[in-house]
Amino acid sequence: MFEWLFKYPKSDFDAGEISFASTWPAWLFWLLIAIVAILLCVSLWQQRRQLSAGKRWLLGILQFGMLAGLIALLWQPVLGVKTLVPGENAVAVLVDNSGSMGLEHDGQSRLQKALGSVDGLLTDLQRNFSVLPGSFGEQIRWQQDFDELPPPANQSHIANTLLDVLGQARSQPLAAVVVATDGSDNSPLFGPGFGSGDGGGSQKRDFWQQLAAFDVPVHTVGVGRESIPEDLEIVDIELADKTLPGSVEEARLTVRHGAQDKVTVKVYSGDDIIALVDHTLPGTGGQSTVSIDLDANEAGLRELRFEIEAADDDPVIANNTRRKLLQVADQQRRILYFEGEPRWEYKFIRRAVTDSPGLELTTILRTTPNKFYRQGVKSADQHADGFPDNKRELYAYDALIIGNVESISLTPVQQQLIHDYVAERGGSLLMLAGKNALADGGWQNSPVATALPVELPNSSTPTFARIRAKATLTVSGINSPITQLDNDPDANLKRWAEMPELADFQRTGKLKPGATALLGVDLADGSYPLLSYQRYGKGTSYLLASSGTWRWQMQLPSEDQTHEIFWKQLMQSLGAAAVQRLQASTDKPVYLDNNRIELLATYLDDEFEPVSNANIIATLTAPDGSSKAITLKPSTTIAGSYSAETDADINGSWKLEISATDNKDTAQTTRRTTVINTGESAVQAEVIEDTDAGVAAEAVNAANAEAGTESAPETTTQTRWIYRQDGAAENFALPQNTAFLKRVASETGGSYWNTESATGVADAIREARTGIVRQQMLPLWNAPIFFLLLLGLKLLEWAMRLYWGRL
Amino acid sequence: MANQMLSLFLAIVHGIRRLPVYVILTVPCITAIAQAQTVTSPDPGHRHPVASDNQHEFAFARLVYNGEDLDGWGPRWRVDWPEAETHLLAGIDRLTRVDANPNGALVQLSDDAIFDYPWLYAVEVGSLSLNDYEAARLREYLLRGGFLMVDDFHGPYQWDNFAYAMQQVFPDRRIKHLSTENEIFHVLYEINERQQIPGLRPLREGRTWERGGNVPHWRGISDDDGRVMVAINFNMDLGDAWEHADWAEYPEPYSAMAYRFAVNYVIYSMTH
Repeated sequence: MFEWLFKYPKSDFDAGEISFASTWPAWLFWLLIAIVAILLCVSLWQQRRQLSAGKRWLLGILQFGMLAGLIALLWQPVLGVKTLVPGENAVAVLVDNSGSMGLEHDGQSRLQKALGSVDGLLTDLQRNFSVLPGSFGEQIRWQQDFDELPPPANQSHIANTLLDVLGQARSQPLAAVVVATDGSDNSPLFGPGFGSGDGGGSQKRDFWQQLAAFDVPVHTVGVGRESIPEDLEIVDIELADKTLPGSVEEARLTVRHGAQDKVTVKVYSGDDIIALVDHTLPGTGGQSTVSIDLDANEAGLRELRFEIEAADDDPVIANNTRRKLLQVADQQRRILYFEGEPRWEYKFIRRAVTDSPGLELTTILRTTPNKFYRQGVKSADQHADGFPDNKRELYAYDALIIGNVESISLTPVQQQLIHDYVAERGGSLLMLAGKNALADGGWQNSPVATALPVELPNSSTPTFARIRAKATLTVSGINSPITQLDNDPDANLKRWAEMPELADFQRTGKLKPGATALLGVDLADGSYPLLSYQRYGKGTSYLLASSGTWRWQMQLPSEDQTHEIFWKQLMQSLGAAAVQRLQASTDKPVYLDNNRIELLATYLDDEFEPVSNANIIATLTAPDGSSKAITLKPSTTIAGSYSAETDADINGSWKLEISATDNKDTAQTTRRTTVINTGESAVQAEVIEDTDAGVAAEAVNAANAEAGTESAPETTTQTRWIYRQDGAAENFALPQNTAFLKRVASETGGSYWNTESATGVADAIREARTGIVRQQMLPLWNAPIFFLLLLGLKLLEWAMRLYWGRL
Repeated sequence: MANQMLSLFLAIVHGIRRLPVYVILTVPCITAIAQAQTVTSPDPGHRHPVASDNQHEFAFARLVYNGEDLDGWGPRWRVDWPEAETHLLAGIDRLTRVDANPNGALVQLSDDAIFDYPWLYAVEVGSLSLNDYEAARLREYLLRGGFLMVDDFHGPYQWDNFAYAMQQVFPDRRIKHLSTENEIFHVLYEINERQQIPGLRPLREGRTWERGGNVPHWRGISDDDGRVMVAINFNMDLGDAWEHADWAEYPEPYSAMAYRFAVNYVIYSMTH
């Protein structure tokens, strides 16, 4: 109807502009309009005796409208539009030919549905466009038609394919791109659950900007079901890549499921089942998290395989399994514990972690006002003068524990050092309670107080009291690896409820914003945080407001390991959170159908300042034993950061050893001679034998530095493992990713379609008029609407006059 | 005056000759009968201070065990009590940074409060007699991390009795000689030369030994990690040396050495 009245479709009017084609001047138009208006006024004035004023106004408007319309038509109104030039514009029609498109539903595969939806589209588009058919997996493959497709690809890189297609077509006007796919992009950028796939924010932004910059609409045709309730899938596994011997690591599995009630998760290390968990899922479907605690045990590489038992109707069993590597590093976290007086907590902490293979505890105990008893030191004179007073000595530790020590016993420099140790070095600090500790020790006036997770009160009365109090688990503590005494949250709560009372407690102020309390305590005058922590600067600070956890050991049966578990877990957390001098990593730990590996390293000197001119060498050893060395290049933007890229083609576990060697200049500039306090303090020390070559080398370096001699450049090595697997990526993320497809369409000016509605794609492309277009001026003077309008005005006038009897 | 009277009384008691072997052998039987009796507290006001009362980190807990001494003096466990520990605790307070309760505590093996005191002192353990329950309790106490110092027993007969009691506690652990190199003798004071610490009575008789215990022995029972759980001072009487540190007639070097041993034991117990 619209097109009959106006001669042209509405979309032409939406996209076009109305103008006048006549060359006659505009002033003439307005002059004629004015003359017509004056003549009408004169004419109507002469009829004032026959017609009332209202009737004359009405007639005047009708007559003026008709005459003005006639004059306007004399100026030749036209509609200026751009139209696609037939045959000169191309439309790329792409069909996803990756493995996931083979998934069947209702007896038809996704690929068959996609081809069915584009089949009619091709014919329709060919009337106006040059059609470019293509299939893609990892990359685009142009074809004559879709009669013969290559074998299904192991990956689908939708994002990269679109950029390639748009880039290649720059030489040819591209009116649009049509892509029929399930939206399962498992490229490094968008792959779900593949390391940085969920991250990469800036790279993703770049992609969307690039895509939009082509200014070519991309129409996405979504194929496949948006949810597959009968399919169980391990979407992702959160698990530390590296841990310490003897620690317990929590694996958090994200499981996509339908209405299944229960699942059984098995974890294999090699062929041995190391964990088995029965988990009840919510019947609502969606994604759920399953937590499993894994014992790291001894040093070595654990090749873990997580499996969910598949139901009979599970369409894809391959996605019920995922692999992870857990490297139990053969290195120890070094912890320094400074205690101001002999006390039971000191003894029982030492006993709790003595046999913990991943921890190396060095303690300095002030036994008398001027004597320090040291345990776990590496030489007879290490820490002979008590607490370290320089960065090199203190920063060598991953964690620091301050016991019953009054702040004034440390110099302002040492107090600032503790603060900087957390904020700048990225170490972990744990402060314990005591009658000379925390607020009673004046720490609220120390720079250290700013790092602590709780406020320290300025109290005139002692905050430390030898009262018995029971630790209560907070909500955060239920699942914390520090306070997890049992895998089951309810059982964990019960264990804590049954714990013996603590021997003492120290009142603190309230928790700081951003801090977390894992344990609390209820006293007569209120509830207080007992064990709390917060991130501070690069590190983490903890506070345990008691020195009486030793009663857990003395009150529970000797075979009970609760006290040991608590302290080992706390110490492991302290050590694990600390920044290391050399940090080596890859962009992701598991590479499914992707052999491009990005190697990353950060290197700091012994005062934890970034080193940008070190020699960073990565040795990558393949599963077949072959190896190659790659030199990492320093970043030009981030000091101390290094990176390189390489390929890993063979499936299996790859060993990555990254070594950092100080350049000589660096070594000279970063070495400092330790200031030795030559006071009269007597010392006792239990010296331990050190078999760690790296630490021994450090000790030698330190000794050399103390002696003022120049040492050889120090080499530090970190080992990581990565896992490569081909043919697996397409088994994951099987539901149609409509969110991604809609985003592609909206960013480019295209539309999202499903297989049923895809027949409208051709019209949408034509109407978009993208590509080579021609400007047309379409005459409007002969549009029926104008004749009907003029006729209508005159008929209305006549009808009015007839009604008034003045015809 | 009171001290002099006590000194005279002790001299008489210690002057009694050693009891015949058959009497010693009957001690376990007698103590087994006696263990059913309630241990009489010498002063209920000094019974083990509970944690709410104990506002100090270290409390010197003395083991109260069953068994009357056959020479009629009274319970063996209370020998030198309370002066020995009150004197020693004053010394610990002065010489170290240990926050020590100036008053000692008294605990029995059957009392759950024993697990509040990781330090335990037992005297005259030549008369120590344990039933199975008490032996298990002491074993559990030590395995949890408690520390036991035993003192003031002499001669082979008392040793045999004590060793029998320890055999009940740890059937599979041996009592071993603690060499001078052991960390327990160096944790605070460097005790490289050890000497016998005599009781007051033999000193008055011009000797440093009693009941045939001529040679002092420092022995111990260690846990699986080699930490000393039981420090055994055999053929010596550190308690007397602490108690009589302020007596002019008791030689100062003995007291000084006894204090050093004790301080080292205390520090060791709080660090290992």
